[in-house]
Amino acid sequence: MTTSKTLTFSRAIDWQWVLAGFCLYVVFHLLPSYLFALSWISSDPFSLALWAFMGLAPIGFFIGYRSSGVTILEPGLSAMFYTVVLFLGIQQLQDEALTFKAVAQSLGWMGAAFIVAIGSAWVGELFQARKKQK
Amino acid sequence: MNGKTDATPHRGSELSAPFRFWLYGLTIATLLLVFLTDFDTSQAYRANQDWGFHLALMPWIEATRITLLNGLDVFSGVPLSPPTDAQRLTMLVGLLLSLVVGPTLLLLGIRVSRQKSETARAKSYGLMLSLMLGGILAYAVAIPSIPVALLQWRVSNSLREAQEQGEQRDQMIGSVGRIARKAREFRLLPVSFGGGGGSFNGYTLSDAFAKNEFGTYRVESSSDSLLVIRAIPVSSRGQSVVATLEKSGALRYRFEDTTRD
Repeated sequence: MTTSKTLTFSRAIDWQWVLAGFCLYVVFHLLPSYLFALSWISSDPFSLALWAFMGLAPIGFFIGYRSSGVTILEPGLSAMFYTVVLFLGIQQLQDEALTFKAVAQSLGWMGAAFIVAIGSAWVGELFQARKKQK
Repeated sequence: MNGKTDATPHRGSELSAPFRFWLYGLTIATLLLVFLTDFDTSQAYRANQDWGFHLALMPWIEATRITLLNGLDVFSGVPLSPPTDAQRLTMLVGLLLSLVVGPTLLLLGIRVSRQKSETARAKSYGLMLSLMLGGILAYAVAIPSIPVALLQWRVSNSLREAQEQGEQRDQMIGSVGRIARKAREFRLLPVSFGGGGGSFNGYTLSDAFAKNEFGTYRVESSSDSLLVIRAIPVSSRGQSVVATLEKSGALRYRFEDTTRD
């Protein structure tokens, strides 16, 4: 048995965790945002960004921590899919036409969500590794 | 072989059946709610005071909003109306959900979960629903609390700053008013009594009037019929108050800001 101090990516993507991650984002981020009308936060762009991305981080962390094997890409992909759904949901809610600017903006969000989810999953993996060492 | 570097990912589901059941169920319900219903909670916030019942997980923010609106109403002379039943219900339900139901479901779920064996835990749908609902409520309160706290800090800072600036401006206007009174006296007094003999010419500020804790004051220009006083606040970055005193006794104020066009 060998132990590695560095974390490496699994070669295959665990789609079960991608699906679970997407569902976790929907249930724990989209549902509260929508149902409990967190739109007051949207009055301040900084708070909106903080909620949008901070809300994603604990879920990425959970997936990284809870899953066996290295699952860093999975929450990143889930976050990207979730961002697309979020974007479509916002478009539906605001009844706005799809513009090039909106699509470009959503691509930026997807990238940012991907980075946040990957970063938090990586931290989750580190915690998992530390727990196993104990 | 280290599990962490295993090339093949774990195939069996690591999430219990009840967890997956509720997770997928809630996901489908959420997506249906967002995409297929016309339920727009943000409408409640767009309409000013005539909003109906809605779920608000942070009712204290609603309370602040209502207080501010009431304050504006009082300021504008509109008589205050008591909170509507919808507002009361929104507050009550919000408080119950965020401070009672959410934490209770979550903590009770964790407690029961610890008492049960792993096999029993993996089969308990009720326990998992309790954990998930409690988790959602706690998550929806805990995570936005951070941006809310930051927002509150920024708002209170800017309010304090605005209040300080307003207070400073009021004090300076008061000081300029006192200077203008002295200047009027100076103009009325004959030259033989140390006055201007019907003119503002020659009026100078004494040390007591030239500077105080709020700013500095100086006579910008003077003539027979006009005296211009400039007051510069201590914290000024190019801002000043210019007061023009006419021979009729009328005093006009003008605010100048060299940082703006």
